[in-house]
Amino acid sequence: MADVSVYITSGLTSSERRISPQWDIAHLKQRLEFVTGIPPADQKIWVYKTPTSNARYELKGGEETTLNEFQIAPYTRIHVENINQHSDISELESATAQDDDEPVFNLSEDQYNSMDNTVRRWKEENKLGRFDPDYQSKKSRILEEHRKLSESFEIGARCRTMNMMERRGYIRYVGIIPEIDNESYWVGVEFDEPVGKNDGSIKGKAYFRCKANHGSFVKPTLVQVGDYGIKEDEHSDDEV
Amino acid sequence: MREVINVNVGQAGCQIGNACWELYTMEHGITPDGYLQPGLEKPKGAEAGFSTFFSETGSGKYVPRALYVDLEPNVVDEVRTGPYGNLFHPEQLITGKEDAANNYARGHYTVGRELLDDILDRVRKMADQCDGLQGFLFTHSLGGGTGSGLGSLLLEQFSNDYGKKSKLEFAVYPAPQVSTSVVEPYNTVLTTHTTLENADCTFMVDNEAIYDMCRKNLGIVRPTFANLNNLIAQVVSSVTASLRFDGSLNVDLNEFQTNLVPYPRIHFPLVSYAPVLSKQRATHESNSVAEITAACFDPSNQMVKCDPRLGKYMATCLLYRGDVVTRDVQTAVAHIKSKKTVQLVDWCPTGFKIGICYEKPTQPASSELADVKRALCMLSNTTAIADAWNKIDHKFDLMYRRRAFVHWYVSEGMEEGEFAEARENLAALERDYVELGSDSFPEEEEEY
Repeated sequence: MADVSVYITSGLTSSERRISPQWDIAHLKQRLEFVTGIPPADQKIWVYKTPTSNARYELKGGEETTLNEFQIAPYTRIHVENINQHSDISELESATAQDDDEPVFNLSEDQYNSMDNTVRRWKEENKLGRFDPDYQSKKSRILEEHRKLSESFEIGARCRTMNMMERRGYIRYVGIIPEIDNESYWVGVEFDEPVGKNDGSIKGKAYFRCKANHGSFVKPTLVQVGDYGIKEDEHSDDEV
Repeated sequence: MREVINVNVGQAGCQIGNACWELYTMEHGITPDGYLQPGLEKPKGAEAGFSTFFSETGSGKYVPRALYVDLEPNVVDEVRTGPYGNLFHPEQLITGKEDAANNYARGHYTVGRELLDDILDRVRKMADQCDGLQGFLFTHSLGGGTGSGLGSLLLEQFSNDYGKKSKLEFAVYPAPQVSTSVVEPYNTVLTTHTTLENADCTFMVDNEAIYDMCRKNLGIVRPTFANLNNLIAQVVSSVTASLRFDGSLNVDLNEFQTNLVPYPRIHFPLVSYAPVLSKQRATHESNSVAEITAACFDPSNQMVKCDPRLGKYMATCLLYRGDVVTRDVQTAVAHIKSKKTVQLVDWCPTGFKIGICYEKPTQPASSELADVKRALCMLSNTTAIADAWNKIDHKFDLMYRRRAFVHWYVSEGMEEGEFAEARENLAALERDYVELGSDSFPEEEEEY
């Protein structure tokens, strides 16, 4: 008889698998160990009658009972329960559920630097990114432009930003924000509408205060200062 | 000619292979037993790339340049006795007697190695029939025992035997939420370590992402492998269309590497595909070039779950197929660039390349997907895909710190040190992605 496709589930796994009606229970359990990690002696096997209901029966019998006798329909769900609460797999199950494990593998900066065949080595050898002799000067030039532009802005001035859509508001902050990085210049804007990302705070530090989602920090090049009035609601315009 | 040999390894690899060859025969006008469909004088694409994927026998029969390999016979037996059984030469279908029991070491060192000579002989014969072999296209899973163990063994061997020939992979990557087997993270890390230096370009597909598309877009309540594989095959077919038909981009295997891979280790482009539409919904959608282009930038159309908005792009190829005109593509791309934040790694050469293949996708009768006039497959090398490695490494660590199941590998002759060595290589790969994401000049579009 041909193989039957079924769904196998367990505490840690879920998969579509093929089983053969000719297998006996001992063989099935042995194979299920390699799928679920649960040793045969700790397995309790449940067969769900339909995909949608929780009605199930336990698949049990003598070791040599073949699966043929259970008439398992294609795409039946077979759940393997771990009945040993003190096994390695139980411990792994709870560790996975809590997901509080410290990473065991830490590649140190020195180790990575000493490896051949890495992106860092490639950048270094080909003078790319920060290894480019002109990188620092190019970067300083851009930052200098941003600084000058920022300093031309006055706190409280009307402005608009034009990236995704036009958003209008007031300039509330200008300067470096160590919570983001130590070199970029930012402009804090309080928008007229809730089209921002925060309330003027970054990582708990308030640079200005406004209503939630009315504030954002953007790059100075994105800000245009000018006499941009507060837009009326477009729908009420229609009614006038 | 520039022939490509397709190698399908393990259950997932062989089943995806089936779905692909079903499509390829239909797309080229070949019957399931390898003859021209009635009314055709020559296969579709005969002037272009057809013979990269098919050889012709003296008797007018067309045979896929494909090899099926599995350690146990059942999956491949279904090919042998199924509707496409006569399409392949029996020697193209290689099976053993005993499976890998989800164990990389069995696929790589013990059970798999016993089949190795046999496989290499057959591949040599197929390669000898080629005038100008370009390389190999592998299909396998990273989590299964045969796909990971034997798949990586073959990639290593092919590097030795065929030197610089291109080796591309379509690889089923473990779903982020649930593992299909408890040792899947081990297998994935071990096989990635072994193939990192041997594969030129790897397209990953995560079953959970495909599963979600089947449910949400196609309305399949409980998707089966058959449903998933039909969808995966459409994607593979779109990627290979330019090799098999006339195209303007990626017409040779090595172009994928040239266009997408800035540095050899960073060879895992993210694949997106649109439209994924059920037959019922298709009549309500116009599926314009603009719509399918926008859809490919939406994470729900990605083959791997990750967030490209949090990453930086190194290269992008947009592979359109069907009824598509260049002007529409240019408009659609300009529109995307104006609306989406596409952050680039600006210190390394990046590209936004466009290819059009005028053959539209085909749907087999069993497919849930609607027949559409055009489709887009987007390949983008983004640092966001590093998320996939972070997740699998974390799962690996959870088990390895307890040395859970390590004895299953050691008892198959694997050195325990290979675990640590593989994990270190993956840690370096994660660091590589961080290094790629750093040093770009200040981004205008950033917002906090």
